[in-house]
Amino acid sequence: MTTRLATLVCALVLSAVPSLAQGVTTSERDAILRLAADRGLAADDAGALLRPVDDAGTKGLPVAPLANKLREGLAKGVDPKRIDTVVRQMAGQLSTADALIRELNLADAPVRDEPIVLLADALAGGVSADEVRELRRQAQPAGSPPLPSDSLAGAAKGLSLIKSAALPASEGTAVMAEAVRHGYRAHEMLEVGRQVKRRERDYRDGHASLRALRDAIARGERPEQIFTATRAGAVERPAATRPDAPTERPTRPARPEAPVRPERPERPQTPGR
Amino acid sequence: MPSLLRLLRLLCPLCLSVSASCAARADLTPVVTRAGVRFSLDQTAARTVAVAGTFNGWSATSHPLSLDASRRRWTAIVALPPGEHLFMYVVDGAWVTPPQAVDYADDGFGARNGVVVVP
Repeated sequence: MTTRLATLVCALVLSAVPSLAQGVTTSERDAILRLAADRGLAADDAGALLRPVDDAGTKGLPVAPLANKLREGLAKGVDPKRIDTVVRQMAGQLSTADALIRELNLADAPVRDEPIVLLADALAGGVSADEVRELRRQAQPAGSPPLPSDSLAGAAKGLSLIKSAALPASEGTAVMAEAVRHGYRAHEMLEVGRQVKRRERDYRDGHASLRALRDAIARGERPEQIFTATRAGAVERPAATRPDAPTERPTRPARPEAPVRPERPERPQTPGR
Repeated sequence: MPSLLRLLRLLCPLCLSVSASCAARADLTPVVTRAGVRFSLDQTAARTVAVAGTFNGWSATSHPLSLDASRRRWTAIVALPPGEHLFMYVVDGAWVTPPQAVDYADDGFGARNGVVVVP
């Protein structure tokens, strides 16, 4: 009887191992505990910091961004209570993102975690669950196949960037829905959002409009065509987001030495001044 | 008229110095090269500078920058996979928000991380 019970317990423990293995890796856990010890944290306190990360892992949520945030907080010397709050908040956003992806019946992405992380990032950036639902409604015409989850997550993240520029969410949603319909990849939608954010004053002052941006996308233009004018300004556009540009900036030719000016002769005194 | 000329004479060097400083600052945005992302920082008085971010577990020591030949700029080239990466500089042990980046994101702890995008 005892042997049978022990076998059962062993089987239960072993079956739990794979789900725990989805959590923080041993090396990652060791690195976090080492960092916490360096910061003078007791082992119990460090273990408590890992709890929300482990909980997320057992729910099948991505744990890498949580562990990374934990390391970031410890490395920056942030108060452990603050780290715990931020990590739990992130875990909540990952959980909401996961639930939204299931609710909206989206098609799976090649890498399951990516859309969850991206959508959670969009939620953290101020996009509401209702806005994501509206985005999906506009982006997916009735009767069409399910949207890929990474596509909608990219659109939501792009929308969060537009919203951070204090531009109307409804217009931003229309832009991103158009981008999804035209097969924009997630990184392209992020690029659109980032470009709008960079030129937020132009959009607010009416020098640029989200309507015109939406029309350009509807015509089939891609970000590298739409934002050509901005791209020309190498000062504000590093090659980092210019896939069309050479990856290395050409070196500037040396500036010629300024000619030495001759001494100016003394000006004669004007009487009466 | 002479006072206008005097004003212009005063303003010209000012404009030139402002535009020169703008041009210098612009170069501090991380740039994607074939070898990796080139991080740069002007901190001539610093003794140590490193870049830390999501790509190295926020290690303040694993990716140090070194002074270039002119000894006016700290640089490092870091091979990064495609995607979005958050980062900050660590100058003499202090965490510093990058002066230039394609975007910024709140870190949740009261500071701002720079964003670098690798296509």
